[in-house]
Amino acid sequence: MRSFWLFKKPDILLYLFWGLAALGLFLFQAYSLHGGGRGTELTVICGNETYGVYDLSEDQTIVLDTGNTFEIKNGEVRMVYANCPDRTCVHSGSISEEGESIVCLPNHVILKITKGGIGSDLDAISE
Amino acid sequence: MRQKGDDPNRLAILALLTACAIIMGYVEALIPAYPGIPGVKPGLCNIVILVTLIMYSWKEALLVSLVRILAVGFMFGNVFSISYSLAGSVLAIFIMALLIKTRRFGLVGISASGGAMHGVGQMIVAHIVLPSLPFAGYSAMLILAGIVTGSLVGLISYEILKRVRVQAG
Repeated sequence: MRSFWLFKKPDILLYLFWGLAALGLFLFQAYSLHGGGRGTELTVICGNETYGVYDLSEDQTIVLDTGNTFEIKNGEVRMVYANCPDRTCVHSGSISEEGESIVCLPNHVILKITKGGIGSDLDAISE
Repeated sequence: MRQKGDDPNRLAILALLTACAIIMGYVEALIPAYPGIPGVKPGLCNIVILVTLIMYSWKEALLVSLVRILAVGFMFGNVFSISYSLAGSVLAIFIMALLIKTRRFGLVGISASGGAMHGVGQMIVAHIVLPSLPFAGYSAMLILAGIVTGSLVGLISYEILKRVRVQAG
């Protein structure tokens, strides 16, 4: 049996470290979204490949091979069906701002709002 | 290892700890959903892992954790949930064992770091599976959640360890 303590002063350093790490990641996220604004296109990624790019101005419902079904309506995108048990993506609501995304982790599907034109060029470079 | 495995007392306690860890996983699975962030759990099993770390060493903790993850994974999860748990718990045990070894930190800080590391491990697996995943904001949330749940786990572990101290061999 090792000796143990409930709390020691250096613990504060650990909290500080993780707090700063989280803050850094939040800032990184905020920065990479760069302002957002309304997007014009939806990029769908299945696995590691781009499955397709859809125009947000066109209302439609699309069923993916994985069973995931998403809907584009009034420039907003939401997942309406997923066959996984937790349905996190369905519950994550609708997205419309550039940089926002809906992720279905079990099926490896990412729906991401992009700007189209200049926006997609930038994405290609950053890859 | 030197005839360590022959010690019946140690074997019995480890078996008991493993059973506790599996039950904790069951209790967590019973709670249908957690509000807010997907992937966030109270991490009740980490109470057992932390107790094992203090009573024995990282080897025993890893063993208990492995058996638990496989058992719980096959009962309630799938290959993906197993790989997430595995990455998270291996990293958490590693960092917690390291912090315990320095003898400078309290259980609350140790456990909070373990909880945060759980989130880091999960995000690493998610990033391997899906490289285009926007991960930064989500990992920040997992780290923060890990600090909160980890601190609670540390507090509970302390109370348990205070009481089992007499029994440990």
